[in-house]
Amino acid sequence: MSKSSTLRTADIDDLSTLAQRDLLETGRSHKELSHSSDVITKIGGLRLDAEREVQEGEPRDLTQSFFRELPTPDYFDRAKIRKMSREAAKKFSKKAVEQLREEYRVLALKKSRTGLSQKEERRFALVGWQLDNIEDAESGEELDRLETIVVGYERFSKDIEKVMRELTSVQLGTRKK
Amino acid sequence: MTWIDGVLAVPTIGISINMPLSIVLNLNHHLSKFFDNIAAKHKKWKVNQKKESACEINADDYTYKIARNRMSIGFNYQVEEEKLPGAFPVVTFPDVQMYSDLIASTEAEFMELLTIFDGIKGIDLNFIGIVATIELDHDNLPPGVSRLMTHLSKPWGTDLSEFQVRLTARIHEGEGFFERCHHHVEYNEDKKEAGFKLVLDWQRVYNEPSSLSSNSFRTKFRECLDRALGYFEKIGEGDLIYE
Repeated sequence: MSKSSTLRTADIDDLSTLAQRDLLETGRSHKELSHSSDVITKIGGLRLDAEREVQEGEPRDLTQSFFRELPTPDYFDRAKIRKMSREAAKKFSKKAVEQLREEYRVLALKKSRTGLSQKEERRFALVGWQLDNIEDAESGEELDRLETIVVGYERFSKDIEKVMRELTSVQLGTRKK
Repeated sequence: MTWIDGVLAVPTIGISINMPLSIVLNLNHHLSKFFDNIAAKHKKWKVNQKKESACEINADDYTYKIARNRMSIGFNYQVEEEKLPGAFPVVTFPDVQMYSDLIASTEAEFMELLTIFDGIKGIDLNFIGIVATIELDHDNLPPGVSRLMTHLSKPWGTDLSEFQVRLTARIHEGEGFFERCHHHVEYNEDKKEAGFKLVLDWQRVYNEPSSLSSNSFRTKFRECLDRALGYFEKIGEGDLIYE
C-alpha cells in the first residue's frame, strides 16, 4: 500500500502546511517544480497532486475558450427563447428605439436617393431586423395567440367537413338499401 | 446598444492567469472574505471544491470559477419549473435583462473578486475574455448570422440540417497584444425546439503577461469591452469578408 493512501485527514492538514512551507522556502517557479522529484518523496500524496497539476498546464495557458468551462442554458426550448427574447427587446429605452428608427430612416432615404455601400447595406439590414424584433416584442405575443386561435378554428372547420362527408356517405348508403 | 440586447443573451467574463503555487495552496484563505460576501449577497449559493487549487461557486444566477490558471464569472438565467400533480408544470420565467446590463453587473461581480487578490503579488494576467452566449430562433436569425450560415453551407449548395461548429480566428493585431474570437454555432433541424445557439468568445491576448490588480484590470477591461461589442456588432451585420 502506498504511503499517501494511508493518510488520515489530520495528516493531510499537516502535509498541506509542510508543502506550503517547503514551497515558500524553496521559492521555486512552477516550471522548476515540475522537474523536481525530491519534494515528491519528502511530502507524499499532497505534493504529488500539486506536481501533476503543474505538469498538465503550460506556463502560459493561452488556448482555451471560456465557453466550455461554464454551464450553458441547454434547457431553453424555442418557445422559451422566443418569449425571453421578447422580454429583452421590451427593455430597449424609448430613446434607443428612436435612435434606431432615425438611423433606419436616414439609411432608407440614402438608399432611395444615391444607393448604399455594401457596409451601409449590411447595417441597414441589421437595424431593420432589430426594429422588427422590437415591434414583435410589443405585439408578437398577441399575434401568436390570435394565430393559435385561427389554427384551432381551421382544424375545427376541417373536422366538421369530415363529419359532414361521413354523414352524407352514410345517408346515401342507407337510401341505396 | 447592440443587437445582442434585443435577444436572449448572457455574458461571461474570464481571465487567463498564472497564479504561483504559494497562493494556490492558500486559495481558501484568500477567498474566505469573498465567500462571506457571497453568502451575504445571494439567496442561494453553493461552493464546490473538488481540489485544493480550484473552486466553483454557484450563487443565484452567477457561476464563479477560480483556478490556478483561470478566473471566470458567468451569468445564467434560472428558469424554475414547478411540477404539479395532475396538471401542467408551472414555469416561472426570470426577469430578462439586456446583455449590456448583464455584462455591467457581471463586471461588478468580477471586480469584487479581483479586489480579494489586490496586494498579493505574483499573479500575472495573460488574456481577458468576454463571452456572449446567445440563444436564437433559427427562423429569425440576424442578417449577419444568416450570412455566415449560408457561407458555411456553400460547398453543399443547400441549407445545413445539423451543425456544431467551432471556429477560432485572430481578428486584430495590436501593439503588445492580439485579439481573437472563438465562434461556436450549434443547431439541429431534428431538434428545432432546442433553438440555435451562437457563442462569441472574444479575447485579447497579451504578448507579455502583466501583474494583475483590480485597478489596472478595470482600464484594460473597458477597452476590451468596447472592442468585443464592436466585433459582436460586425457578426450581427455580417461585416466580414465573404467574397
